Amino acid sequence: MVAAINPRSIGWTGSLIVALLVPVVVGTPYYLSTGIFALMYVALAVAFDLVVGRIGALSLAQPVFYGYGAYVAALLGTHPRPGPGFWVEALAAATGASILALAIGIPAFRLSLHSFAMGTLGFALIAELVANNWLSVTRGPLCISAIAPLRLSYPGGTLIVTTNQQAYYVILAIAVVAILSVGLVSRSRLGMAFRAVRDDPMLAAARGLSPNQLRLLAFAISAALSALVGVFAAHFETVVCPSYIDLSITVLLLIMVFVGGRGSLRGVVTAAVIFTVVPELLRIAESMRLVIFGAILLVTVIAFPDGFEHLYARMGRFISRSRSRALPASSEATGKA
Amino acid sequence: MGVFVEEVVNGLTVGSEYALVAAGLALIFGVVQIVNFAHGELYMVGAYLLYLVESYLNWPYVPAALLAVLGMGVFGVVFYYVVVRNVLGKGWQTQLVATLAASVLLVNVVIVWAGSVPKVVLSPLTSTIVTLFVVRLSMQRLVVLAFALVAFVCLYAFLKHTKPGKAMRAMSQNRDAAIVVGIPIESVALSAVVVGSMLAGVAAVSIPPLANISPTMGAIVTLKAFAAVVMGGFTNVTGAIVSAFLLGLAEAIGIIWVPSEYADAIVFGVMIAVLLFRPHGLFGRAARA
Repeated sequence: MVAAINPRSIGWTGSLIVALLVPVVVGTPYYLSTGIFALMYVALAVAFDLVVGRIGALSLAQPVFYGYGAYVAALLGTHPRPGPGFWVEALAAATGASILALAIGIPAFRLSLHSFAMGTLGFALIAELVANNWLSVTRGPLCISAIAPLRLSYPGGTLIVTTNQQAYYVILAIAVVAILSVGLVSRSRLGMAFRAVRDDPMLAAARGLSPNQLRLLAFAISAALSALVGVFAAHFETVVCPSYIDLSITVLLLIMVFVGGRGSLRGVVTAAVIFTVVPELLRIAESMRLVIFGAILLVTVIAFPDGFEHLYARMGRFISRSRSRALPASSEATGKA
Repeated sequence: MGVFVEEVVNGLTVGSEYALVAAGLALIFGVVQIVNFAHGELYMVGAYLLYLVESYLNWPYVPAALLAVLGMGVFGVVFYYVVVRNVLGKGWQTQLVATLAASVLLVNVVIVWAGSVPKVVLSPLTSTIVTLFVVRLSMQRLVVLAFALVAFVCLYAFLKHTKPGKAMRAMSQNRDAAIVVGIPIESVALSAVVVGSMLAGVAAVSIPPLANISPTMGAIVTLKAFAAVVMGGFTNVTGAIVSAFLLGLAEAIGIIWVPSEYADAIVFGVMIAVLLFRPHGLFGRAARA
């Protein structure tokens, strides 16, 4: 059955194979670390899209959870202490971030639209102030440095992640977990409930859904995933600074989600890879980079509100049309699908 | 006692800064329903305009300040046609992100052009000291208060007694009715953005001589001004101005007890508290200037 193979799943499988082969093909550590950053942002952007794209809440507090995860990992495992290993850190970071998400979300979701955005930004700024000034815990702008390498225990042994190759596969696994969980959630009944709340909270409430509980759930899942990336980032970069919670990360994530297309998994993943890899390859200076990013974001939201998802959708229509021309017998089947 | 009076004067000074930015923010929100995330960056651009006029044209402070405020009016026109006009009637997420993108763009263009090192803007009055009751303070602080007062009196007269001002109030009260009675909403929207930028310009020419200017100075002002707008009840210009002064005073008096690193947290703490207990702001929804 030719029609049974979904071009979408071909795309995902192909991308996964390419992603698995990257460390084999790319020898230069510098380029491989670019790949690692790309995957970190894939996971962060996909998690962010769960809140912005799927439930329709423009949170500007996303780096708080990422930074929280990083600080948890940093405080648990600084030299000479090796730390309790990945699973314990991941559990501590994910549960802590979910609780933090509830603490921020319960007051913030009393606000709507713009006020919610600004309220969450207020929380993000307070978090950055705390990270900068709570010297006895975070060491403030001096940063927590010399974080021990990630220790990943599995049945029968412990892997100490020291090379970029190993780190690459760990973050690839985290990114796949993020994509799968957001993908599965959005296809489930829960995802339909999220969409209902996004499109019309009043109607969703009238149908017996509880908009605020669903929003908090999406917010907590997203926070837990971001914290997981934070744990990895702390060990990979070996230093954790207050800049983990900076507004510039929010801006980058917004670009990825909006240029990729809100609520589109494939679009957001594509945008996350492009906006981390291309600036590195072109070696654009940091300040120029933000000028270009700002301009791209402005043009995108004004002229291409669906972003890459729009291109993908057109491509999909094109493929199905050419296939229906080639196989006139199955045209009805593809048309229905 | 001397400390207290000094902090009150400080509070009124930063309060005027927030109030001038917040008034424009509330006005634009009322008229076009767009939260202008880049409004603090308009304030920053105004400060750099003043710097430009002073250091390249070598104009003295007062005419340079006037020219910079007029320049901000022109900049408002550009801002309207490049950003605001293109997102009118689109979803609120799109509008918010468009103005956020504009703010990122403005900050970084200024960084590329002038560098991120803070610059000094001069006013002859900064070093003139006056004694008021028990405290000695810089004349420039009084200039700030005077500028803010003049700006708010002009704004009040404009909104209350001129035709475009009345049109703005009409649009912020009931957009559909405003269209029905034939108010040209596009040009009213344009003039609201221009008035808003000029108010930010007034703050931009009076505050910077007291401190330095830097490309990132606008971000925190946007947030504090927005806090004032939210507390004031969103479209309520008077409410935003009063809340801005309250926030400025809370911040200045608060740092007598709170460590000064956390001064910014006071404002957001107050904003979050107000939003939790009075989600429609301190002054409710009914009152409008």
